[in-house]
Amino acid sequence: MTKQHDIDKKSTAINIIDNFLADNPNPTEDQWKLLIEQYKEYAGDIVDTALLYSTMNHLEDSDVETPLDMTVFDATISNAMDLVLTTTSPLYGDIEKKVAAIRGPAVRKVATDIGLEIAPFLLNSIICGSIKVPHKILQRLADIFDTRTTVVKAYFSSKFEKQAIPVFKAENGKPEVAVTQKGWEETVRSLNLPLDKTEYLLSLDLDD
Amino acid sequence: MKHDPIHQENLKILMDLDPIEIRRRLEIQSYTDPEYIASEVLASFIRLRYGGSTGVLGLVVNQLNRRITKIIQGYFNKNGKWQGVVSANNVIVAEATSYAWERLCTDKSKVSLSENRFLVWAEKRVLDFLKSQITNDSQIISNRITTVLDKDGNETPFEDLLFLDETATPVAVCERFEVSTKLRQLMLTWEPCIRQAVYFRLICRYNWEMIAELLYVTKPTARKYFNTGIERLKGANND
Repeated sequence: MTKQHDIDKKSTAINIIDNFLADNPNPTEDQWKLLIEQYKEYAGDIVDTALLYSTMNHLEDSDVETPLDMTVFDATISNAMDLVLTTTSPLYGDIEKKVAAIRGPAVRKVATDIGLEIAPFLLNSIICGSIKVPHKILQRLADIFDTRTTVVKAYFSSKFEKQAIPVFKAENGKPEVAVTQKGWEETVRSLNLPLDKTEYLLSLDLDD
Repeated sequence: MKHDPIHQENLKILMDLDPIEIRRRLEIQSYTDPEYIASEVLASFIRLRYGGSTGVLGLVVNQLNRRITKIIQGYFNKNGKWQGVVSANNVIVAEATSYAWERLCTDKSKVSLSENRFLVWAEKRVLDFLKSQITNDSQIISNRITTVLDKDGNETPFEDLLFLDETATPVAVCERFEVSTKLRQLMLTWEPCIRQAVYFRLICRYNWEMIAELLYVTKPTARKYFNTGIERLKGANND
């Protein structure tokens, strides 16, 4: 077996046991046994966890109200920061593929599906992350991508953050580079559309 | 597993706030404050990697590292018995903390236990870390295992001492729990195949065919593992 296979298998075992403990915070021997029989391939991991779990004194909130050990904090913060700030969320994998498929004729179709038929070009701005996604569009995209609105919002925000800083020569005055995503209202109003279309687009950012 | 709706709703609210307001709320340490941000919500922030460019994500890492460190330190303080198997010093606490972070950042599942019950998730990460630390050598902790006598003075077979009998009197339950815990801790120092064979036979009461299937070995080999474990239990009892 390859090392990656072992890692994946270990990860699956961890998730299975995590889900089990979420539903059974104080599992009995019979419940552990049922889990073993349901997931025989991971019986070894389950047994080891069952043994450890039955021998530990479980934590209560009061157990963690102790002074912070700064030695340990200092020893771990750099690694944690590096891990979080330099790696991509593993939750983006599925969305990435689905977003990549929205190109060419698909843009107009998806724009219509989510209610942007009067301004399909706005979907391109949303996809590249340059504008904040309005609430109703967020929900509709989450439905299309089969994920949560928070994942969609975080994904497009990260797209914006990863945009390369453009290199260009300013002919007049200083070049401007956006440091935050442009707001939906600001974007819509800058289009100078007829009033009814403007009002419709603005309504897409209202909560239901 | 589904997401906890309250934590998810709080996450949505937080993600809509101005970064300055998020930073203010991250400074709140008292969990009785209504604007305190639950660890489950912070875990979601980390998994989503939200707020990198505003500096919010870095502050979330800082805050959550404080909490994870305290939880893991609290675990080793409460479970000092691990000092026989793993020296519970700052190095081990730091390693367990780093392991928890790695797990949080690489977990691909749609819903993580960290987003629903953070304390249970952190405890479970310590267990996973300890599993990886348990020696594969034939190191045995010599502990005098106290047998439990019934009212007629008969000793309970030590195999039965592995079971947690919840129907007995409170005193008997405590005694049995203590003995059971010691035996189980002893088993945790053995090779995985031997402790699993003993667990499958004595606790799950599986037949040899089933045990062989679960261990991916032949029946004679499964018996051999089991017998080795039983001899060790007997040896520990006689020390």
